[in-house]
Amino acid sequence: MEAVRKSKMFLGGVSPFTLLAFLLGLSFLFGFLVSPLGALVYSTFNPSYADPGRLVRLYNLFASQDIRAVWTELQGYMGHPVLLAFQDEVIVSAIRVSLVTTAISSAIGVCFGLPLAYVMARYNFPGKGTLKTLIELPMVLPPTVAGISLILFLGPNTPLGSILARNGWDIIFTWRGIILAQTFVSFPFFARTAIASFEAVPESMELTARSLGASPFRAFYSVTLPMSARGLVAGWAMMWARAMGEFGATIMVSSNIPGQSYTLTTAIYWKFWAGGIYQSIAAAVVLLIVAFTVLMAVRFFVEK
Amino acid sequence: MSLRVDSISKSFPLPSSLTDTLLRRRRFFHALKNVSFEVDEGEFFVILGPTGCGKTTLLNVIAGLIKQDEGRVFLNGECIDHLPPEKRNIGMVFQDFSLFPHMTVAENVSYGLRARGIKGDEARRRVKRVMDALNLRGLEGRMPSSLSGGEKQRVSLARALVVEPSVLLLDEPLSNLDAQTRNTARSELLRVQKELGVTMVYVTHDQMDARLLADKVAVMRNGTIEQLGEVREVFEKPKTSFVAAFMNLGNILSGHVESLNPEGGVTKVNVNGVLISAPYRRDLSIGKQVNLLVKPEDVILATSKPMTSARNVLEATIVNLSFQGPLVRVTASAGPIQVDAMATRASVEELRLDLGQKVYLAFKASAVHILD
Repeated sequence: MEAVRKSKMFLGGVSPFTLLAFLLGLSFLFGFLVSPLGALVYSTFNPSYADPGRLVRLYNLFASQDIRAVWTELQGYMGHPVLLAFQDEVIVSAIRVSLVTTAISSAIGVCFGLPLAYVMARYNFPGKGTLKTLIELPMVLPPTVAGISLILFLGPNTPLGSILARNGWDIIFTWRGIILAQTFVSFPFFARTAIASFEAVPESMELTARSLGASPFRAFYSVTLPMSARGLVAGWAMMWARAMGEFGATIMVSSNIPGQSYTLTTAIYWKFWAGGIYQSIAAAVVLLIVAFTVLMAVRFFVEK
Repeated sequence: MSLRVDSISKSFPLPSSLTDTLLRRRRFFHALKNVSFEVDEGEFFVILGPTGCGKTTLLNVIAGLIKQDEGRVFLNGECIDHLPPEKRNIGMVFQDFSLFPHMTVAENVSYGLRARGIKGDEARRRVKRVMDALNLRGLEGRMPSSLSGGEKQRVSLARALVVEPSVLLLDEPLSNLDAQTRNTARSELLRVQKELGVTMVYVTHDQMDARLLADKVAVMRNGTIEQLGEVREVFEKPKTSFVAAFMNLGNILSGHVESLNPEGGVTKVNVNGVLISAPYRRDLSIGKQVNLLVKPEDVILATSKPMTSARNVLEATIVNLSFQGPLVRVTASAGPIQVDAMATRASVEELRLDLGQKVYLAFKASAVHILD
């Protein structure tokens, strides 16, 4: 079906209707997505955010027609904010915190999501529909609700939280809280994709493997897992990206100490309030680059 | 090795409606009802039946993929019900071939050997042997997606055979092939089966498969075996009208017993007012409803009243001529009943048969089979 449609696009010419639909989609993409992101990237290299006084200086230099001075001034602007960001202790720490916490939270998601998804895909049991809804719930639940729930469940003044805290396991307002918040909101992205990927592997494949002498576990790792690998990786990437972008719940359960428990997203927020929009551009660009790179890498793997 | 299936029953719960839940009632679909049969070593056993008759469920029970409610499965006299599928040494080939798409042909074929820990020269020797037997040489490095339907079917067969299963179960393995490939694959399958002496249980809805492959046939309907026997016997003497109709054996006429003549060995059956002579059977009584089978190849066509010893001679009008290669299926209606007869193309031309023409249909009483 897919192949037929694709070839139709090229072989059968483009109908005015198709063209209209395509242009409509393209204009949406540019208007709502590419333009704002473009503004972000442009601002990174735009000196006016870095130092509003510079623009006036540049104007004066142009007015004085001193070309060499203009050139020197321009050279000074290039790439400054982003490069400076890597010298900023707070941003560097936020990058580290984000990478470590998302690695752990997505690992937790895979460890628990894989078996759960397999059972959901292969077996029918009473309450399966309810369980599926429960898995998907965090996708539609505002993250702030997740934040409140986590605080009410594991906060220092709750029964469970106080017991854990007494044994040196503070959850809320530490990095552990950040991981929990990320796991909470990002888990459904993996679980849903994993269920669909396992369902796409015909059961007869596993049964064939069993009839050839493979144990259930061997049939799973040698047949089902490789056959669903693409979907699983795509699901993992979605989960990881969601965890990376997690903000609402994170800001509620984190201690928000600069240079210690800022994630990249909360860093953007605090920097924005503390030092204006310029201060947060660098963190935003780093997030954009990381997200874009990971998506492209996954696309390359999945569509290979 | 021999396989014995002893009174297997299996039912599946049906999805319950609201009233079922309220009345605490559970409804079941009885997929298998008390099914028993025996397959001897090296035998080609075909289970024939329409979709939904329980034949696939039966295979799954034998393979251990589904647990039966009642009954037992024996392999070489030993009950194997407690064994998981991977310990039964029963191979299975599915309709969709189920080749592992991420492995090459050679990796697919050797999968069972790896699962059993057989490696090195022994594995290479066994893979080569089945690949040669199934004409798969040169395809070792190919991926399944690049194979034709017939090649896929042969690879899936090779993969199942390489582990030397005690019994090989095949679930409609040829139904995904086009007609021409199916014919080749059929004779290939038969050759390999005889060559390697594998015991095979083959499930199909295609009576041609049964006719050309089977040593023994079981015809299934609604979870029970309707008839079981040597393939010739089943095709020559179908027991029930379902078997006769499903295997497309010929004309089925329904009527009631009009008179019985034990001395003459004749039963007269009234089919919508037309009297048909059939062999005498002791278990019949006057007025009993019966179905008769008259095979088209047993009906003689003539343009004038034939001088024949055949007890049944019907005057009829040709309503259809269907050309099937060298043969012609002539449909003629004799009053309220319609009868198909087979004629060669040459005789149709010689007799100048045409639509609307008056003909005589003659068949012996012994050619009429009384079905249950």
